[in-house]
Amino acid sequence: MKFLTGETEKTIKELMGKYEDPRSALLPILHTVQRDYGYISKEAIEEISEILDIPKVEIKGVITFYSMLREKPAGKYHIQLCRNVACYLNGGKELVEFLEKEYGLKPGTFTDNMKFSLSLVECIGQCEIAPAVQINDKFYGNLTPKKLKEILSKLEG
Amino acid sequence: MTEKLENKIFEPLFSIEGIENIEVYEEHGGYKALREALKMKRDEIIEEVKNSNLRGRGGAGFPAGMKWSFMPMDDKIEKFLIVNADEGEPGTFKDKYILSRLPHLLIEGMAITAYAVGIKKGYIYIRGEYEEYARILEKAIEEARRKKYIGKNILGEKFTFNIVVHRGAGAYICGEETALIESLEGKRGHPRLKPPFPANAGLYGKPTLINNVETIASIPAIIKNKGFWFASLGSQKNGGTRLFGVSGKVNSPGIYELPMGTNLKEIIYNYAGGIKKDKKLKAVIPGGISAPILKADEIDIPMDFDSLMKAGSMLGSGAIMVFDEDDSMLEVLRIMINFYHHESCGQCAPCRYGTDVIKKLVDKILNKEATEEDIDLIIQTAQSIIGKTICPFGDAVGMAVGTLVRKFKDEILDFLREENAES
Ligand SMILES: Cc1cc2nc3c(=O)[nH]c(=O)nc-3n(C[C@H](O)[C@H](O)[C@H](O)COP(=O)(O)O)c2cc1C
Ligand code: SF4
Ligand code: FES
Repeated sequence: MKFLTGETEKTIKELMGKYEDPRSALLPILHTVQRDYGYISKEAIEEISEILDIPKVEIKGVITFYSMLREKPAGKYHIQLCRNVACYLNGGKELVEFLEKEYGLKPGTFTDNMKFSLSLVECIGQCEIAPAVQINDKFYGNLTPKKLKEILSKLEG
Repeated sequence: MTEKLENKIFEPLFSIEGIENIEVYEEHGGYKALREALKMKRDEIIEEVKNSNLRGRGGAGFPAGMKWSFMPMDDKIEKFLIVNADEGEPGTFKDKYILSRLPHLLIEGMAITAYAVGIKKGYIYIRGEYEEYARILEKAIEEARRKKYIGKNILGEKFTFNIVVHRGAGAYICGEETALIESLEGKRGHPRLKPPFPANAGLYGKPTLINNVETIASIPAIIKNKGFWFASLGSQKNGGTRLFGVSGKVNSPGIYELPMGTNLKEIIYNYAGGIKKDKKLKAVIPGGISAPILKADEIDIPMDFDSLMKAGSMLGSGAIMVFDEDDSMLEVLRIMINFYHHESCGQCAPCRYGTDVIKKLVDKILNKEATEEDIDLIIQTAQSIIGKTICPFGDAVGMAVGTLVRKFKDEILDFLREENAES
């Protein structure tokens, strides 16, 4: 049975048409699948392998190479916290401690309600507003534990 | 020319509300340079870029006009233009201001470049995290297409050029130009051996011109005001202005557009507002984390490619990271080596093992188990990576780590002694 259907399938076809070589659409396709399904499942990999005619192991190799791509679900709100110099020396470290204390959220894990997940990442290009995080596609900066809590509370609704 | 010549390129535009929309951009002279360029001979455009002394803003500072002239001029050959918007070098955040606020300046620069070099297809490789800015670019491209600034028969001329925005997915090494090409071909981002250089065999094996966002966004101003004007803004052999991004312990972190060759001390104290809480300055990384660190007494220096090279560092991406007396250089070292260890693509043994060995030695220091010999071993290991790898990542590890440990060896020794005294 087909796994990638509807809008996802349509987008994949469009993406392939943008490039001289359809294989170039691999990253955008993986982004699309992850956006629509939350992660890139075994079934998805199998189907992409057929569509693009590249071996499954190669697709897996690509997924593991790039830190944004995942084969497992993440929280509804995925927090990427910057652990590089500007952020970590300007309060980022305290944010990590706060997330663990207040939410039981350790890097690489979820909160129990699957609302939030956390990963520590390298510089996300927001050093002038350090410490910074990215939550899904949005950036937040000049954070303190208090400000971060406000943001997360709002998202939690 | 009736318009007044500004001595800055980006800042006057940044301050215009709505400039990311094509109508506003046009009202402020947008796409005029493209119209002018289409009336020029192609080699005249390249000549202007050569005269401008524009050097690559991505890191290495290679003269842009020279790079363009390495491209084959034969139009029967399929060629590509890639704009490097990967912006992964820690400390760097300048390109995002162009991508998000001045997408049309970038598009206009790309169209002029493509016309001059005879290219029909351009890619903007943007880091995956910049999803929001990728959407802004897509919208701007659509607007430009509707107005015939890109697409088929641009402004009625026999010139066709299309742009595709391609998002990366989180890998620092994909900022390196050949890793970027591999990534754009749908593969893991492993740098290629050079030669061949992209100008001969790049994307899909075809001649490819790769330039940074800030480099390409400088092109419209060069066409409008001429190359010599641009050259006159900067210092010798370093044309134009630069978007310096200042972060860390300064009162006003942010981007500052200043002439190439502006004094680093002046940037920190006059523009970025000096050190927070009037603390003492300890050190500065002047060009992104890969640029060897400068001590407080080494910052009386013009910020251009040649002056920093002479001082044993690098202008790199123009990202200035400022540390005060409270910042631990050992912590900076820890973050730095974790970064390199995590981001090495693993192809070359010296880079893969070297980062691993250094990381273990740094952990040993942090666990208070190290001796002075271990510190020296870091310096030796760092040195041994330099010049022995496929891509400049290895050199960056060696230079950045080696310099930091050499310059702050006393601080690391003090840390070890302090801890010993406590136990
Ligand atoms: C490890 C590594 C990472 C790099 N990252 C970037 C980057 O994020 N953005 C960029 O424009 N150039 C980056 N570069 C430089 C590119 O390889 C290339 O020189 C540049 O895009 C050329 O454009 P320019 O001549 O306009 O500077 C990187 C180089 C290396 C070795
Ligand atoms: S130097 Fe490092 S990052 Fe560059 S190709 Fe070799 S292993 Fe990969
Ligand atoms: S160091 Fe955190 S965003 Fe750059």
